[in-house]
Amino acid sequence: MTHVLFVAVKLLLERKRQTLVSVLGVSIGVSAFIVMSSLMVGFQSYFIQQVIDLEPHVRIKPREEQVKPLEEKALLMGEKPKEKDRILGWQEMMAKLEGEVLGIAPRLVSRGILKYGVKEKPATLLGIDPQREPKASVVEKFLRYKNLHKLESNRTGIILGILVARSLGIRERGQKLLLVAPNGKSLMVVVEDFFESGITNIDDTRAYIHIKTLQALLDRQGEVNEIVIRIKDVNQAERLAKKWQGETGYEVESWQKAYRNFLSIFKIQNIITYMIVFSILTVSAFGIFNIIMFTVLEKKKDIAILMAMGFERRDILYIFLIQGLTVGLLGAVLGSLIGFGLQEYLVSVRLDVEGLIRTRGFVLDRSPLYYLYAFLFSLFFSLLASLYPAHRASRLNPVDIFRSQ
Amino acid sequence: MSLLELRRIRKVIGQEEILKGIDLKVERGEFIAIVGVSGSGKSSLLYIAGLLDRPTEGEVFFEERAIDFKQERLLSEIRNRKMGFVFQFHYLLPEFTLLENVILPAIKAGMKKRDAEERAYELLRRLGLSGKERRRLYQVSGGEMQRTAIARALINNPTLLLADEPTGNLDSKNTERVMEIFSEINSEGRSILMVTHELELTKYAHRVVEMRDGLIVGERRA
Repeated sequence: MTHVLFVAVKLLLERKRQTLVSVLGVSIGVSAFIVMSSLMVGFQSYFIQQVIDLEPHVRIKPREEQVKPLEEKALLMGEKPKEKDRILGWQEMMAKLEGEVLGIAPRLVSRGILKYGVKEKPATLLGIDPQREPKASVVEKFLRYKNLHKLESNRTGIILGILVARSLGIRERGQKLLLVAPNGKSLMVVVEDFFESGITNIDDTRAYIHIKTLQALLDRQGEVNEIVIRIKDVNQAERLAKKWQGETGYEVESWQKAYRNFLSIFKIQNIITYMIVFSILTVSAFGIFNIIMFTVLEKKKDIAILMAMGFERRDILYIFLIQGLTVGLLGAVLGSLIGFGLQEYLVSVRLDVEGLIRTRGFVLDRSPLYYLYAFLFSLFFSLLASLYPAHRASRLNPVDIFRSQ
Repeated sequence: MSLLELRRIRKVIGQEEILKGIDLKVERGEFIAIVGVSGSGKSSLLYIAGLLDRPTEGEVFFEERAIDFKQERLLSEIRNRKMGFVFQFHYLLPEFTLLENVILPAIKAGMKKRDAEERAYELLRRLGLSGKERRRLYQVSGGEMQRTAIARALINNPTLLLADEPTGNLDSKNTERVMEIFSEINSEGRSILMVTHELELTKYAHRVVEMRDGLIVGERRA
């Protein structure tokens, strides 16, 4: 192999400029792959982790039923649709499932309006049992003052999503505000804590209150409309949801199903990102193809003389494949260094990211696997790009070339 | 015992019959010059003798062994270890220094780079290229390039040197120099098969074979 390496390296070094351009092309693709993957997966993993921590892995809720449309006259008279929104026998259901899960808790969920001075904010009210809730979700992790237990001692206490509080202009706990239920009843509540999950959609809509307080406000004593469950293996949520749906007769929803819109968006996002990265790698592969094809065409007589002096066809093949692989390897090394540098920079950047999630900087997944994949992709593309020119070089007939001189 | 024997060699390219049944023996230590006008088939014959091209019909024996042209690896090995080629154009690789050009066949043959370089230095010295080993092609003359090509052909101690118009691009002084080198190589016991259209060069050969229209039409001892 020494003779093959000797020629291949020499040919590459003699074309420093073209080689450098090809290496740069590959390195851009590699660094783009590393940075974009770590950004994208970092963001998605952060989102999913927050959802898995904050939200129940599985929730049991009343089956959505087609409520018969009310007649116009009934609407004008202020009649309301018949209440379907409750789970019957929830205590028995919880007792039955308790042994199979990490934690289980009842909830009563309703819409409501929060009023603070002249400001109003519609919110999703989550009536929770402060003792059971931490077993079913790690809500406490996201509380600024860790005051979940205060809902127990102060039944008029409320925990506001940080963006709900901001909308109302509430900055400190202890502030009083008016909670208006859909049935028109209202209650003066005291802010005990704020929670901040980082997921805009949640922080901007949610408020926690004691379940009994909400039941009383809604005139629904003893009723719950959601049972939330935490399980050991989050990936089993779909399977268990299907199983429990069959057993309970209620609608059982996994976290994946609840967040399927986001997960679908992530899939599309992944496809688009990887298409961009693969486009860059493809362009760089064409760069390699170009330089090697050019070398093959230009070096026909050199290939012929190498064959005359005893180089075999496979030696010629390897000479050009090695050139392609060397460009790929150098591009991968340089791209990894650039990618690492960019990651370091992005991690150090401090800025308020506001969107689907809110963070104070970029969330990166810095798995070494991206470097490994980038190396493998780079080598694969380089090999692919050099395969045809190398094959063509190895099939040249030296006699035809000598005759044509 | 012949070093190389060609029996009833025919070569057809497209519709044209380039070689029409050639029989030729090259004995060990023999210097043969093949002469003929352009298009007579002498280069085609040399390519077949050098195992670079396969005949349409006929047999080739090298060191009494029938050559199977399907065994490409074996052909490459024979070309690498037993044969050396010198062409009208030097065909040196421009990316390499003179020394690197010379050692290429030796490295292919598995010789250590340091040993190959030692041998290359010796050959280049013998061919009057001392001190120019590290030079690139653009730094030497045409005659020096051709002598480098000869050194490359000799690096693996071949038993047969095949030369196709080796002086075609050289002036008279360099031509004479190259031919003297060929004589010297030949005197060491190596066989030489040289194709040329310059009749004055035949004086260096033991035997002159004349070709015309793909046939050997004359043969004489020099």
